[in-house]
Amino acid sequence: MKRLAMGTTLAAVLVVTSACERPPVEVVNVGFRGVGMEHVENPRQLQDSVDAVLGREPTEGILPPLGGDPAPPGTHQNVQVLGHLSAAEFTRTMNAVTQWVSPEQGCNYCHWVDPATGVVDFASDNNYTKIVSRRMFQMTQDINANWTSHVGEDRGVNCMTCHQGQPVPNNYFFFDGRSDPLRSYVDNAGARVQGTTALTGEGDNRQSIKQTEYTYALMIHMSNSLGVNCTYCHNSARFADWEESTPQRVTALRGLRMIRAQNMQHMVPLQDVWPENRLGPMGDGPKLTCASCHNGAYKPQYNAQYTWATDWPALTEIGYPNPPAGDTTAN
Amino acid sequence: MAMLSFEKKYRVRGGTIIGGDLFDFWVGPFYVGFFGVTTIFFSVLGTLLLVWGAAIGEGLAGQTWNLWQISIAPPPIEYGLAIAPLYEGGLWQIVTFCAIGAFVSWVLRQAEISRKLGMGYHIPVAYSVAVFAYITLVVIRPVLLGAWGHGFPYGIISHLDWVSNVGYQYLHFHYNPAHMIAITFFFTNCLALAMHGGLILSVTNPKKGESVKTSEHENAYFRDALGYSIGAIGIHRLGLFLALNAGFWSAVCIVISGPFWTRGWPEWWNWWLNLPIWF
Amino acid sequence: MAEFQNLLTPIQVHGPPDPGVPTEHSERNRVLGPGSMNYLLGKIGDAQIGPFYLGWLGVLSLLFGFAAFEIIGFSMLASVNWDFVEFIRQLPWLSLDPPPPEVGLSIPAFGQGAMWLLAGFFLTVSILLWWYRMYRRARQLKMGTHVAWAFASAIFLYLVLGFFRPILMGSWGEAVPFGILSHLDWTAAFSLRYGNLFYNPFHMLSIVFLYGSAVLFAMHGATILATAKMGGEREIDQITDPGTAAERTMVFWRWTMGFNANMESIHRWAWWFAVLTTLTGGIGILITGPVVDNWYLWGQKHGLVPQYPDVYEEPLVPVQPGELDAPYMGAPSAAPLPGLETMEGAGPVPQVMMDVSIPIAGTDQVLTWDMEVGR
Repeated sequence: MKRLAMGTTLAAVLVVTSACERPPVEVVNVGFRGVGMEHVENPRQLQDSVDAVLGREPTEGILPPLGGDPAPPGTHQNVQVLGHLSAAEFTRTMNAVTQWVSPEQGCNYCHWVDPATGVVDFASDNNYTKIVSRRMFQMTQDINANWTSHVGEDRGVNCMTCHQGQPVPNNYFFFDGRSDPLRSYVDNAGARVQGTTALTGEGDNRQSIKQTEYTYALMIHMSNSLGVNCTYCHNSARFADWEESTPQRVTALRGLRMIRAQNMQHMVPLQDVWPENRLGPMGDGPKLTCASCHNGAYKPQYNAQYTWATDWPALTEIGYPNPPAGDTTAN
Repeated sequence: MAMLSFEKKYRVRGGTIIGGDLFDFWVGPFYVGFFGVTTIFFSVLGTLLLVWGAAIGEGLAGQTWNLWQISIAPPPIEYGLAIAPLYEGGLWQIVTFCAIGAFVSWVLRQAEISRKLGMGYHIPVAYSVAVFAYITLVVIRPVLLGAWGHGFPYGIISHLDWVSNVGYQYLHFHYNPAHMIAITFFFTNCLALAMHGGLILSVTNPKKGESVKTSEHENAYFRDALGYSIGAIGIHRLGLFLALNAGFWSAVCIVISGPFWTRGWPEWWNWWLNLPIWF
Repeated sequence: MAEFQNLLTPIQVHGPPDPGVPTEHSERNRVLGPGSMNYLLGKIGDAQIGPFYLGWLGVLSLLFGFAAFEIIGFSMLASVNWDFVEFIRQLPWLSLDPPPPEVGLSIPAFGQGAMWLLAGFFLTVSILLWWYRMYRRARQLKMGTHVAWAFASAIFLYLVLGFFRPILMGSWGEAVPFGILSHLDWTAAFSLRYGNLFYNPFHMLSIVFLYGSAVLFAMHGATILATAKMGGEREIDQITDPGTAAERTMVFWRWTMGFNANMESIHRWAWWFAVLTTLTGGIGILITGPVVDNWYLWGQKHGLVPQYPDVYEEPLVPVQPGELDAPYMGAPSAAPLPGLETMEGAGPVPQVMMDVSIPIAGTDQVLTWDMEVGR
């Protein structure tokens, strides 16, 4: 009886403590002293995830930049968004993309092999993956060229930021009936629920509790995507007050707008391209969230340089088609 | 005179904990005693330091005498467990020292008075749970986290801002299991207090013209209503248990937030969803 | 020494169970009588369990309460497709939610919160019947009705949360859901929506009384236990004919803090603290929304808000005028889900699907292309 009691107690203690962490922890102060604007981090978990990021760095197939003038008309067939690259830079980029996205599957993950001849037809768009990857090039170019307010002038993102060496990134979302709050990542413009006047009669705020729960759910999704807490951006005692928010909140707002633009301009238009097995429970294609790039880190891949767009003109400049041979109107 | 009609017979010197008959006297209604003197020392010093802090606008963007806004803030996290400069949280550190000195003196003072009156030591023990909760907030948790800066600021609104921010560091503090237990104890305590207070008043203040009722009526009322009446001694044991647990679990819920859990509290519950018993 | 602290009853003397003070109908309505003895209960309090008075108020209240409990439980069970294992596993997360905001105050359809309304109605009926039962029991025992009126204060808070405030706001959707974690989500969202409830002075008062209740019960419970060896727990006797126990309790607090209640008045303190907890809390919630929209701004207006030194840097990319003016969350959208409207028979293709234009950075050119190219 005594043994049973001790065993049960031991089991209970184990269950409870296994659901816990231990000191020491690391703390980053993000506000004035004493206000509780802090970020608490478990240094052991943090080290593990940083190690994982460093372990994913591609070791081969990434060449130094080659540069050069745009390839002359007729160099490629059916190159629509990378016409601004020289032929050498183009090849360099293709090699790198293989390392970033399909290191095991190789070129043929996107490029079609004619089953009759066994020859790779690089120009063919028969594989849906090629159409998707073209769209992803456009999206990355758009992000790096037009959303520097979020991704930074000198940093940007490359394929590795989301893909991490896999054909399908780890983090995206589908509509599933419980994902309504995540519509703010797609087509729901606002997230504000607090009014701007003290008294109800002075203002126009008719936000319901349910909408507030949507915003709360969205914010928790953003927090988890970045591995941070509410006080990373907000003084939670005055959530809506921009004056008392950290500069990260401005960056986050720009990020939210960026995701919305990318989903509407690039992910949603791929709807008819996805095969059946890439669709969610309600039949829609995958869409981005903050976690797609951030993967649980306050900066994607803890700012590892191999995830930057720097030195990849294929990704930092808005591309255009390589014109057919003899086209003299090309720039 | 500040004495109750029967008080004189209890005002007997002796029975102190330390100091023999040093300070063994009364001032007005108050018993002084050795620990009364230390209480006065620490609380006057601490209060004056708070006033000084308010006078220099410590912890704020500008000086104010607005009682709601005054805030004496702890040191920045960067100072760790070191002694901070006076105007950068050093004041908070001395005030904290004084507060603990005053609270502990008060516990011992209660023990001394209990002893002089031949009572049990329930009151100082109960009060020390509240002191323990305070020490958890400003000493134990800051030490576990490695910096005095994790203490809360001494201000009416600023400590609420601190509570808010520390809560949202864990995304949704209501999911903290110890917080759930603490709140349950607080609410149950309030319920039990209402039932006990109401019962005693209803027995001693019956309908006009009725005589005061008996403990049989007390028992009959709650047996009729709920099937059980815990009885006169039991309700006080229960009340003490509920109140002390409310304070104790409050201390637990904050000390585990940070030192023993760094992520959002909603995530903590995954252990339940992932138990191997679900099939 | 621990033995003298009276934490447990060392010796239990069990006579025949007390059948209770007779009242009208008590012989017929008292069930589970004459009561049984439980040794463990006797260690901390009275050992006797029962009898239990079961008048028509009690029967109806229990029936309505049971109905509400079953509606909530079966609604939750239905939400996990009647899978009992999942019901237990997900129980903390399961919820019976009030109708969505667009329903307003009308009767919602089945699956739109109708069950919430029904459960709420049954629970309210049950609680009100129970209140009247508490009142009647006191009157029939010829006692005061203090317990019932304290209960009424708690019912006021309950009705504010689920009835009065939703009516003032014009939407059942404002009410609290039935669920373990979902009611906590509601609580958090309520504070978020109304700009931090900590700045609500009635919330402050309610917390003061709640914590004060804990302090009071600790003080009172400890004081009585500390004088129990002199009979301090026999409070009625000590009120009507104070003995040395009552005198010492008074002297103790007088010597400690210069002020004391007496054996009776401590129970008035207790009653008022407990009653004011829910009363002030209820007022605070009732005016949140109908009167006050943002408690932080209210606090700012009335000089509550401390201003901390500004320690934040400017964002690396300067904020553009108007950039931070975000619109409200808006109504939960009834528009078709983006992407899905292109599915067969799902309506027109939106503009964004047809043609995408990306401005080229640094120029005024716009890059366009036809989606059909390369397909």
